[in-house]
Amino acid sequence: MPELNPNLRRTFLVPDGVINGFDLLFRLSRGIEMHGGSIRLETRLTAVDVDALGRVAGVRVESVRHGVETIRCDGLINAAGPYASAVAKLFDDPFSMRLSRGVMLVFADRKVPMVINRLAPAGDGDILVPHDRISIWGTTDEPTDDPQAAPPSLAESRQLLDLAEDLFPQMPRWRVLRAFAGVRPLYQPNPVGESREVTRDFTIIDHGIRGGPKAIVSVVGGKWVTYRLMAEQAVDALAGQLGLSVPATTRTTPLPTLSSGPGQKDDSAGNLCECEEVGRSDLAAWPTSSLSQLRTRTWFSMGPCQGTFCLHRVAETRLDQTDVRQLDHEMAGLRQERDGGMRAVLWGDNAREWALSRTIQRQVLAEDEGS
Amino acid sequence: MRVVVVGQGPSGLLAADWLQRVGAEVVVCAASDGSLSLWSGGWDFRNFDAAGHPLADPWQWWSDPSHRDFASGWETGDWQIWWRALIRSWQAIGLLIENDPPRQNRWIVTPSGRVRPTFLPPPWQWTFASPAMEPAALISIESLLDSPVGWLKARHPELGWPAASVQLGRPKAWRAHWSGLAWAAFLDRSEGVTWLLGQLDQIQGRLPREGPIIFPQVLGLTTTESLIARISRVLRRPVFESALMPPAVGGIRIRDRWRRGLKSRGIGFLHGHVVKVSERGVHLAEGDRRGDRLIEADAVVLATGGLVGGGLMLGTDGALTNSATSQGVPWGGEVEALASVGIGGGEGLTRVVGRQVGGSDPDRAGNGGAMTLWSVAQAVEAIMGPGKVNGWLAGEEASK
Repeated sequence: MPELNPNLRRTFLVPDGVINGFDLLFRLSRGIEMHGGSIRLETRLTAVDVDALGRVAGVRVESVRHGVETIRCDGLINAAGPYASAVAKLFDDPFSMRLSRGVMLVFADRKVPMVINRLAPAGDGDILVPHDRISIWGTTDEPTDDPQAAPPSLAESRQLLDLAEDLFPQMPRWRVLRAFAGVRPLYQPNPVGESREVTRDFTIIDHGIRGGPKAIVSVVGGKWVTYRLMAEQAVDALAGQLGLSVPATTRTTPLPTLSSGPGQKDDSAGNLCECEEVGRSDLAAWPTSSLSQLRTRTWFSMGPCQGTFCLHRVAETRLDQTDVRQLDHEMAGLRQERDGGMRAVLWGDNAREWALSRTIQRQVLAEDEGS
Repeated sequence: MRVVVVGQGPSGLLAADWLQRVGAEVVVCAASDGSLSLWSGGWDFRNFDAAGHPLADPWQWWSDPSHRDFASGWETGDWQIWWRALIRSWQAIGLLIENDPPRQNRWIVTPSGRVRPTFLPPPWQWTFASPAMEPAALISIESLLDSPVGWLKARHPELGWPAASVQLGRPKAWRAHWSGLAWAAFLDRSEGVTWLLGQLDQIQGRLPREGPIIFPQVLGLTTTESLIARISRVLRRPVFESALMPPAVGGIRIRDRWRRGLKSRGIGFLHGHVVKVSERGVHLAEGDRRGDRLIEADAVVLATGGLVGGGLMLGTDGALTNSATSQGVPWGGEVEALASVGIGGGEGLTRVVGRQVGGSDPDRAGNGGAMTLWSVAQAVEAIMGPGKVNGWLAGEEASK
């Protein structure tokens, strides 16, 4: 591995792997829809209704598209990640979590063929994860009370970069794309010590059993790699509350494949997003998605230009179904989101790309003018 | 006087042009093709006021002394002279534009159907007199990206676009990777012209009876004027182009003609990265050995651009460096300040030109063309002495 520090004294091979998170998420959501479930995106939970017998009866939600609605239900699973404790407050059975914010740097190439770790107790800046064609360097660990991760700062990115010197001395010259931040939803009933010492195991909280409303289960903590087991145990707990005893089958049920994948792509018309090779047929697979949803579903605007050249092209394909003012609003939102990630790693060619993007948005597209 | 111009964007080519006109021996050193391929070719004077509102009359803006920021010493009369000098240089490379600078800003359409002001557009550019667009018929081409037709229909339904837009098909030679540039090269060939005339034959009856016909900017790289004249004869209507995304065919036409014109007047072009500027000239990096080739010069013009052009480099530690002089450039550290920080290095007979001379944000103000014009004029006068370009211009205009 040419990128590794040639002066390393010893290395150890450990079994490790990478989950393609978005692909897995979209397969899961496709599976839910195939089995009759529905997924309401961009919808906020505002209240949980509990009946006179102390059982959950429904939830109230709010969205731009549908306004305020009540959804009736016999059971509720709270899997809101870092927001789980805020959700639990809505039904008056709160618990405390240990939230921790982490920043990661994204580089434009697959620099290593496998996950590379520093062999040391867990610390900041000690893991490089190859993810499809990119590489992700992480991470930081900072206690926070805010379930919404604050955007990464340039200072945090530089600090992460400095920590790479031992493992990957060339990293400052790698083509950086952006930085992003996330919040780990760690669960610790009796908080002591550093958050890295908090278990990454998960916990099922059966609210009916501990004196809260019946037929509500919270699932907190855990990692992507244990997601199926977490779901199975949460559903089993809820099934117990509901008096059901059908065993879970997710262990043996394969996930559906996505309709738009390699080999099915019609690229005879050329691509709209040249960096990530996204064409009209890829976008057509998601007819009702917003621009922001299309970004994670098709990967448009994720490459080196960060949407500079393709955003208006992708948006134009939605003109027949979306009001132009709504599209302008979505475009401005996506620009802002892309810009935030680029600014946090403003050095080298990415700084040049950022300046190019700024000048094209203003001069070539006149996006600031709202005319 | 031997002058090395570093960079071949609009400011580098303009500086080389004027310096040669007034007697300098000029060599252009450039590491890349320059930034003209980013722009469709228009020059901006002042497009927006301080609050970001579009300006109809940039002359009026400049007549207020408190608005002159970088060009504090220039009166309206100075701008008149230097815009005329630019126009003369453009006419010399075959661009068919009026002798007098425009009195007002014109308006252009962007690939996402927005309108914005510009000052001095190239002759093929579709422009109109106010942001309330004038009726026109738009041609789009199947699979060619960035036509504004869909956006214009959505943004200006009152103009009746569905009736006034027509789509052309694709020729046999078409391939999925064809950008505007490939289309333009195709239409430079007789095969392309034959295809286009055949298409026009089919759509003539569907075009509205009046108003100009607007094509996407693909009407040839080298044959543009004759192609436009030919289409105009066939359709019996004025024909213009609307700009697409970079690589911008309009800017590339101007770049290529300008370079050819300068070369024909004896200006040399060298390829390479300038990594140092000394009293003896500029030092070109060659291969892995850096700065070992000296290009001697009595004066140096740095037309290297800012962050976009590569004249400024930002390090992982936040240090800003002038890439040609390798000197550090102080800046506040606030990201927005990067848009208006000067690239530094303009001492003695080393002069900095272009839209990043500092003190103004050309992306916000829409004054990049004015910054370029002003800084090149300053540099030429500093190196060759005042009044020389004016003398050349007077001679040219007297001989016409």
